[in-house]
Amino acid sequence: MLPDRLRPRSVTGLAGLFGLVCALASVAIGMALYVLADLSFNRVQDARLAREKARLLAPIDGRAPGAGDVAARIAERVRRREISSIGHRLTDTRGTLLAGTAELRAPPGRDGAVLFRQPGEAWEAARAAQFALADGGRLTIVAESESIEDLGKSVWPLFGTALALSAIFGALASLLLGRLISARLAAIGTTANAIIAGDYSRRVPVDSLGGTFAEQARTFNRMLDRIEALMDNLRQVSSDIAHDLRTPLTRLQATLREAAEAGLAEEERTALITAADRECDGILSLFAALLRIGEVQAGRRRAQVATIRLAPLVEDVVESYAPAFVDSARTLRLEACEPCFIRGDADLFNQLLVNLIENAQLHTPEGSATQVSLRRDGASAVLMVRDDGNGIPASERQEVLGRFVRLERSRSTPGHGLGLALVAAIAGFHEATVELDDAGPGLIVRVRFPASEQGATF
Amino acid sequence: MNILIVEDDAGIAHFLQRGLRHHGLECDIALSGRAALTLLTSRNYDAMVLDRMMPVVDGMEVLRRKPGHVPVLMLSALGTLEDRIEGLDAGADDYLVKPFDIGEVIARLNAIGRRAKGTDRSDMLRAGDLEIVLTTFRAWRRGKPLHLNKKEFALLAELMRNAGRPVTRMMLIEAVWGYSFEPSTNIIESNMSRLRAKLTIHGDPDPIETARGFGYTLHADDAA
Repeated sequence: MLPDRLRPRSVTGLAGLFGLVCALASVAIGMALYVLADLSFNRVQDARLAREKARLLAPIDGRAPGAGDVAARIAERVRRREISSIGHRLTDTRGTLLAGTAELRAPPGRDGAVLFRQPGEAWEAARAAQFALADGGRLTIVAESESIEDLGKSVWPLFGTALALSAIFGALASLLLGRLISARLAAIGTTANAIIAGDYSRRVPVDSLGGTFAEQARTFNRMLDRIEALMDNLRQVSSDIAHDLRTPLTRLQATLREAAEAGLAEEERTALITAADRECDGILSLFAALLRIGEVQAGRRRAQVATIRLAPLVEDVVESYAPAFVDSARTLRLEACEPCFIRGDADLFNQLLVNLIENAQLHTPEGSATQVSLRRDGASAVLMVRDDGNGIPASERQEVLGRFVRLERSRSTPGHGLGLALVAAIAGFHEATVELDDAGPGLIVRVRFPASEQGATF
Repeated sequence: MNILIVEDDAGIAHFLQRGLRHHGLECDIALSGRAALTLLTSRNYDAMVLDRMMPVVDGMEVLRRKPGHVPVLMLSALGTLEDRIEGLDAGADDYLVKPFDIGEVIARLNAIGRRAKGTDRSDMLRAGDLEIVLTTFRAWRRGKPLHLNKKEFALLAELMRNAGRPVTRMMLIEAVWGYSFEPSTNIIESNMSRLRAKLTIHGDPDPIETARGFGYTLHADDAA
């Protein structure tokens, strides 16, 4: 990654950087093309020089030709005009020019590259090769680089135009890209600002066709949904606390004021203080239940989630509660307990089952029988608590279920009345569904958990 | 036992001190984390009651910086499982959520003080005429085997670990059932009555004393 101060700070900067990189890439491609073309032309010229040498220095009757023979061959070739754009220079041992008219100048550095001219013409770039003859003469063959120079002349303007065009289009594309991204970001910014201003229902518009931006917008919107749910939860918990605590707190206050009155008998005062103490216990357990629901709904228990084996948990809870049912003249029986695994929080699962079982105990008449079962049903683990009490009339069943969601509760039941709300919250945490059904007579509560495979260890 | 109370709320600190002294426990008060760290270096305490939320040096920091191995009972208004785990992970031996009952504090201080001395590491527990082997779930009274189910066995084991001292309902729920919540129906009483019936089946006296609404004490000496 780039260091912070070199990273573009704006979309325009990002687009500009993109354009610059494109332009530099075009230049680099042009230069590479030129170098490659030059190399390949040089190879062609070198091949021509090699062919010319082979012709001029071909052996005569098995011996290497002398300067005289070569001069004759050159003259012959010039006469036949067979050698356009190739020049020669042949000297004998003393340096006397024997044939050819080409004038050469010191090579400008590169191997084989020289400047040369024919009499009366301008200097031109060329490639040359020198050979020593058998009799001490020297032959220099020169091939004009005219063609590659011409090519260069036509390629450079072409390349320049292409570069300019690509720079212009690159700049335009960058600008357009910048605008598009800015517009997307602005949409998110507008939504975020609306939410900061208090409009929690605002969402980022999502393209119907999908794609990266739509995916990002959806993720962003899901985050906003979660935040809104948390805010709702917070509001709900706060108003629940305000609502549900007011009544017992008022009762507590009344009891304490009564206890403080003058002229009470000692045992009356003690009874009132005991009542106030009980009221405090009730308030504290209501408070604990509300906080627990808040804790579960806010997802603060994610860390405890593991693959858990349900059967031992169910057996354990039923075994623990069976004596309590017997003591209150009811029965509790484990009807079926199949091996099931879910991803979940064992402590919360225990609480869910404990709440359902305690509910059955509280809301059934003496002599009632409650049955608990755990069964594997396809991809679900189904926990069922079934009693033969009075049940809930079909018309109200839907309503009770609705109450789970809205956290409203029946005030005539003993306890703080939050047991089923907590069951609903725990089921929701485990992505489980809660169904209420008629046991004819009695109530069936079914909690359907998504089952997990036994092999999974996480 | 010599206890250090670390609590920035003077009202709660003195309420605790009165309660602990009433039960014969000596105690000092530190009204800040810093004062606690100073006291801890100058005196030896058998246990410490530590408030979690204090200004400047809070309970978690006292846990991290305290010298030696003073067992700690952490008190906090923060009661979610996450908070408990955090407190216990930081080195607290037990964690109690406010508001608390003074009896609960004393019972738990006794339990962690005893645990810190490391006397009951063995697989076998003995209290008076009772004997149990933890790994095999077997129990005897006066040498005669007792046929206890899992819950009854776990209840008896917890009482025997704290023989002679009260064990609160909440301590039993945590130790025997492992629930982080307190059930509203009395599963403890029902299971305890089954355990008592089995302990007295041969006509022996009931060794368990009930403190109504509070907890239970196993008396080991009278039978011995």
